[in-house]
Amino acid sequence: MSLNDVSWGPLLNPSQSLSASDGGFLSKERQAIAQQRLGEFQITRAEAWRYTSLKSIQELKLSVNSTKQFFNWEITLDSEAIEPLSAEAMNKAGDLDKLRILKLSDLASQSRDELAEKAWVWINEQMNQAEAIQDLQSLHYCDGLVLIVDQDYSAGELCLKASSKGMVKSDLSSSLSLQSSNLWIYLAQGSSLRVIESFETSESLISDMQLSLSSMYLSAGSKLVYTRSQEQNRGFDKQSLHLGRVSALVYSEAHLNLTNLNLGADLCRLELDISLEESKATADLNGLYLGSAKAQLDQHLTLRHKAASCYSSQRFKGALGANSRGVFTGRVIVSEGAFDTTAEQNNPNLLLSDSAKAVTRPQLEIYNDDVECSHGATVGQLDEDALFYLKTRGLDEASALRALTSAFVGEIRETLPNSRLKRAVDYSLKQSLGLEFNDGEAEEWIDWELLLDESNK
Amino acid sequence: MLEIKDLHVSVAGGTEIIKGLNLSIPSGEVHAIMGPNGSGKSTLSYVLAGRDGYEVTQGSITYKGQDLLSMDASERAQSGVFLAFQYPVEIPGVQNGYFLRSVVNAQRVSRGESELNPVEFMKKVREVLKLVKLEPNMLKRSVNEGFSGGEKKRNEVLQMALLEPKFCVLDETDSGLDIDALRIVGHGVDALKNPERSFLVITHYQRLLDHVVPDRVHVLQGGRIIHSGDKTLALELEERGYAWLIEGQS
Repeated sequence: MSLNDVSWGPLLNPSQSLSASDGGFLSKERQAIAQQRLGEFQITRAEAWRYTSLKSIQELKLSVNSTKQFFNWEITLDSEAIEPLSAEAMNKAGDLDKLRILKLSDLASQSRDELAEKAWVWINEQMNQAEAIQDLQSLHYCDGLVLIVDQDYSAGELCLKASSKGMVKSDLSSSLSLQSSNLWIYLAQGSSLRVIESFETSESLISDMQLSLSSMYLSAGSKLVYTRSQEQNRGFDKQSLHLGRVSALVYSEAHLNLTNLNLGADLCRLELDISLEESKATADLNGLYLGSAKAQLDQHLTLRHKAASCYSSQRFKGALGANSRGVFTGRVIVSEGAFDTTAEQNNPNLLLSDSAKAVTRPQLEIYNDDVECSHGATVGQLDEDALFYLKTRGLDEASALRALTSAFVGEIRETLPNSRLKRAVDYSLKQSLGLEFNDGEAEEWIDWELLLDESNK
Repeated sequence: MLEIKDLHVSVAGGTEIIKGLNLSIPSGEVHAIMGPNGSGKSTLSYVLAGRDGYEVTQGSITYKGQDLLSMDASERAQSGVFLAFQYPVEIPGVQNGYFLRSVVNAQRVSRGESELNPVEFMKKVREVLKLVKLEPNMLKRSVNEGFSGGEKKRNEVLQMALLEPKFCVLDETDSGLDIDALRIVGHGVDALKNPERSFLVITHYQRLLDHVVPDRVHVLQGGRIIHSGDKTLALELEERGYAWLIEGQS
């Protein structure tokens, strides 16, 4: 595909008139700017999109204005569902817990205290950035979800699922849904929060397009553990696309721990834009991308070291089966004043079939000398010796393959915050290996430490 | 137990390594194969275990009345064939305890037995850990990763003891071992001897055979067995080398 072919096809037309859901947040002018920028897109920044084919997007048949979009998230806080999702209920939960959970439209229209005003200013700045996925978001805007954690407050764990239920934009002939979500997390100084955001496809849909924006602001000394899981249905008879962007600003001594799972979708483009803004900010970034069928999973990371004494680590692992393709672009920019920088990057890829492909593109841009940067990228196949060894002990081919691929993803799988996500990884891994997944089977993980202690008694 | 008849094996590229090998190992016997480097010893062990990349161009291997060559590596293992590797493979990320229990249970299931739960497994594994003098901590480590040469070989014997195979091939299990480790490994193997279990011990040295006393000793040279004898043959080879046998051939 030549660069000139890149265009946004039907996505270039706004979904609906603004009044339906913007709550006064978006202006027609902003939408017009977004539309114009996207129209000029192919000339200005196609290089960064080199490995994301937009052909399947151009072929989408979206019907405009077929249904209104409604705000709808499924939310649980420390495993307790927060329902119903009225603004009142959410504000109440927020008041009680120093954790505010509110609609972006409410933040826009309500009177704001000092903290809310800071969050509001930040959100506006973010939305005005000239980034393709943000512009798309403007054209297909649906009310956002804002989380604000008060100073020094340790909030619990929030599970978020942007539900497609109220957000279906359906064309009866193709039953296509366009789901658009935007999430804003603002952590005040010294606060902490754990968030799990997941993207799934509802079973009734034939095809599914999701557009997501997740933005984080980590004030000095705050800590965010963010797990993002893209589990949209894959290929076969359903078509599923995902365009996502995650951005984070990390301030002095704040810590971001991010894990991204790309487990589904025929085409997934995920941008990660992480900026270490002040000294001693740290970020641990992990990712797994598991491809099967003809999936194209493209992760595009930009990591900016802007201040001195910051630390970052990136560990992105791909296991690719069938005709899938995984792409990892890891761009690390170390600014002139960012002395005493440590940045580690690691991108191993495992090809599980002869026709799977992995593209790995480490890009380091370093503008000072006092920097310790390491990067390692590998593309390989399963170790034949190990496979033979396992078989000579009586494991059949499928079990031996599973043991070795599970070992490959193990270090990231083990850090996942709940068993549902671990099972999602197991499921995708079996798909990548072309194996049937038995719903009843439970992967068993034994705590040998505990077992040894027990049997010593 | 095992009957090899006129076996010819080539590797990729067509080079013939084993050239008409005949060997019969009855139940309960220990047979040793000795021979100079490049005589085909390791090839024989891989062919017995079912490794890809070796082509049997002629001959047969019958194991307990079955055609061994028609079975893949895991089927052979499940029916009781075990290969102790000369170079045990390191598998990062696969926990030894998890691995051992998986393989024990895979074999139990293939025999129609119930799986061992973690507690039952632990009880069983504790006994065999003592046999090969390995610490229970090794269960938490990745398979063979960072193990010393001696630990790797002891882990092989541990697996043998856990899996209770019928026919064991030991491919230079004594290589790279110091005297103490050799004693542990030798004692471990010796403890596993029983009337229903046969061993094929491939080795360069007589010293392992002090612990695992062979019923028969065969000399492999140029892909064929050129001489067989009782355990005294190993002592004689240690003293005289192979030259006198090889010269006798030509």
